[in-house]
Amino acid sequence: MQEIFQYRNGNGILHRMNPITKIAGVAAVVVLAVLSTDPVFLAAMTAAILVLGIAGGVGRDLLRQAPLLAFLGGILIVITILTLQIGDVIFDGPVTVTAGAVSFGFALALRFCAMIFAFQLLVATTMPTALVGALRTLRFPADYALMALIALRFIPHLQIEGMKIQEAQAARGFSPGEGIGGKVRGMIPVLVPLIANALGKAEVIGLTIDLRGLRTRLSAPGIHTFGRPDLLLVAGISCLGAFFCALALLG
Amino acid sequence: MIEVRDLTFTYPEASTPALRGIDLTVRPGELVLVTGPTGAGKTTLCRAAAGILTHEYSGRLEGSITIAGRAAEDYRGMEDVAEAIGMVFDDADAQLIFSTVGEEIRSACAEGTDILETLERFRLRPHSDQAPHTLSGGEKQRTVLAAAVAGGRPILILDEPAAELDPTNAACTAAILRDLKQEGRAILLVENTPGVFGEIADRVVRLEAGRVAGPTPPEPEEIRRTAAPPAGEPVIKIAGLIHRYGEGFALKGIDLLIRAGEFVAITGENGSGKTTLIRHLNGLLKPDEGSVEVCGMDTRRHPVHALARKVGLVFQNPDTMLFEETAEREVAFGARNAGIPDPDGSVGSALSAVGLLDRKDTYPRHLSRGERQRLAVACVLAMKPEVIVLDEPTTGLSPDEAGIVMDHLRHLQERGVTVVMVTHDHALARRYADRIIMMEQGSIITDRPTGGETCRRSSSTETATVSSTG
Repeated sequence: MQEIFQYRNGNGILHRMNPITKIAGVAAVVVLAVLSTDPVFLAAMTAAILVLGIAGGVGRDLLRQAPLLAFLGGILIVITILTLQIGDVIFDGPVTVTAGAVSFGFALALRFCAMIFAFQLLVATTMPTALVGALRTLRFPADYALMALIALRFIPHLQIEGMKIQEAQAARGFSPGEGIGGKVRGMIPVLVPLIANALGKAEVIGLTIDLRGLRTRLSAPGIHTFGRPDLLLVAGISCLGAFFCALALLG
Repeated sequence: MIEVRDLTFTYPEASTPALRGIDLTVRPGELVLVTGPTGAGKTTLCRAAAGILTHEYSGRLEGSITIAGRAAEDYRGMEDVAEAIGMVFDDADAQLIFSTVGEEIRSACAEGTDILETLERFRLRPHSDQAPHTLSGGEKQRTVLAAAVAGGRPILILDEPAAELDPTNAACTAAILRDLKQEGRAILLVENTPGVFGEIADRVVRLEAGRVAGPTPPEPEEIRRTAAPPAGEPVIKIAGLIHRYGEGFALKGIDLLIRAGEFVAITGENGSGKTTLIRHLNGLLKPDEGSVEVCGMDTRRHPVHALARKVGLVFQNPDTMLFEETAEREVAFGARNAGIPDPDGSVGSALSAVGLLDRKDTYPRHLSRGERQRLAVACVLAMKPEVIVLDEPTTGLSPDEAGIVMDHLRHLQERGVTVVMVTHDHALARRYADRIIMMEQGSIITDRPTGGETCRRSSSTETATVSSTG
């Protein structure tokens, strides 16, 4: 099973980086991605994040998500082409395709990839306790920080549970059929147990947090030191910012 | 350390109390084992003793609970209670919050605590950097136990810690608890039956319908089976089955023949390949090498929903399948999918067979764990399969509930249905099965009839081939 948004043990440059620097880096990527509609800049930023991931020893985790992101990006591009008509017409048939729509569709897809990759780098290289400590240092409310921690932890659990439920319903002779109709028909027998089981676990999770004293223990702000890896990330993000400004001024 | 006096507790909206006049004391260095059927109030008692009912529930509580010398209501909340109590719930997955075993244990310790000793003690050192969801059931349970103990709390409460463990892992947990007891910790432990924990308990308290009952009833007598019909044609033919997980082997060249009307039990430790093997029987898994043929259908060539009409698979956890609004509709779902000509009649007889006909209008998730397990069996029975495969069908059931399910399976076998059951319970296997297959590390190591007058015939020696290696 392909696990998403999970911490990977390691001692690469990203693992040694201060979690606060990484959170700031993700925030910077989100801001730049939202501000830019230039596919060239967005492609460069996505590539830079990929290179950083490879250098940090989690490149394979990012690349594993490429097929899913390509699929979702493709859907974004198609929806944009179908709903937006700006610039030169490059194809005029049953559907009119414009250069502006293609460019904007690519920008949206790349924006999406950049943000997902950046977030993946953060969670794959930061121990959950360190992440909660950093969020607390940034004055994030304790309960929300714990919620973020639990949400991340239970992603693979939900993936596994979803697979088990699908198998259990198939073993009862359930065959919702192919295509979108099949997907819709297949949702209720899978989603109902998935949600009910997740809610059933909520009480035990809450009690476990209390009985281990985690609310108090993790509420304290983390102790963070900054080093050379942090400077490198700040320099990298600054370069991207400068590149963005240069493109904006030239454009 | 724990003192419960004349405790009566009624859940909100419940008409009858879940606990009635309970008196219980657990002293330092003592392990008290509470047993009883599902619905007896064992989990409620655990939660009462941990102060959870006092601080987290709004039901009516009468009597007194004292934890480490202080009344439960004198604690400021559960975080305050946590200074004295470590608790292990029955669902290990829901208690594994962090990304690695080491972080899970470290999170429960004071800053700067060396967790190496804890990892060693709970036999988790090789798994320190492993993600919790990749652990086996026994490893998950030991991780949760280690985190509960790690803070040095003097009281430990465990709610069915061995429900899904094989005998080796249960014995391992028992050994750890014996050591903790000898260190002076007060331990309250709940299980359906005493099992391996009976040997380390200082006292056994049996609950029934919320009250302290008499001593544990003796094990059911060995049942002499009526002569089952002679085994028929082969319904399951497995030849050279290899299944790989990553770079390792889950099944290493299994050869197996099961005839119509046989009752076969598959046993073995966690991770021996039992569940992987039975998932091949209805096509949920496809062979990497070799072949699996069930009722004349090659599992590689038929989809799961087609195979499901011939082979019914009852999963270990009933909650993976329950989604309808009533038990009756839940059972009808499978019958409709299987195209049963008289689904209503089939649903009624299936519910009756597992003793749930009077609960047919109940929301399935409002049933007890044991009732949900029986409902899962009914869902498969209503599909009228030729082969019924069950993964640990008696997990979480009291002996009485297990008896209802197992007796009905035997009736089905007497009518020619083939039954294949995975179980850790060797006594159960000997009592009901004609043939016991033992697996180890992906191979069949023994395949024998149960023997004596209770064994139907030596079909296994005629038909089964002890595994080869892969």
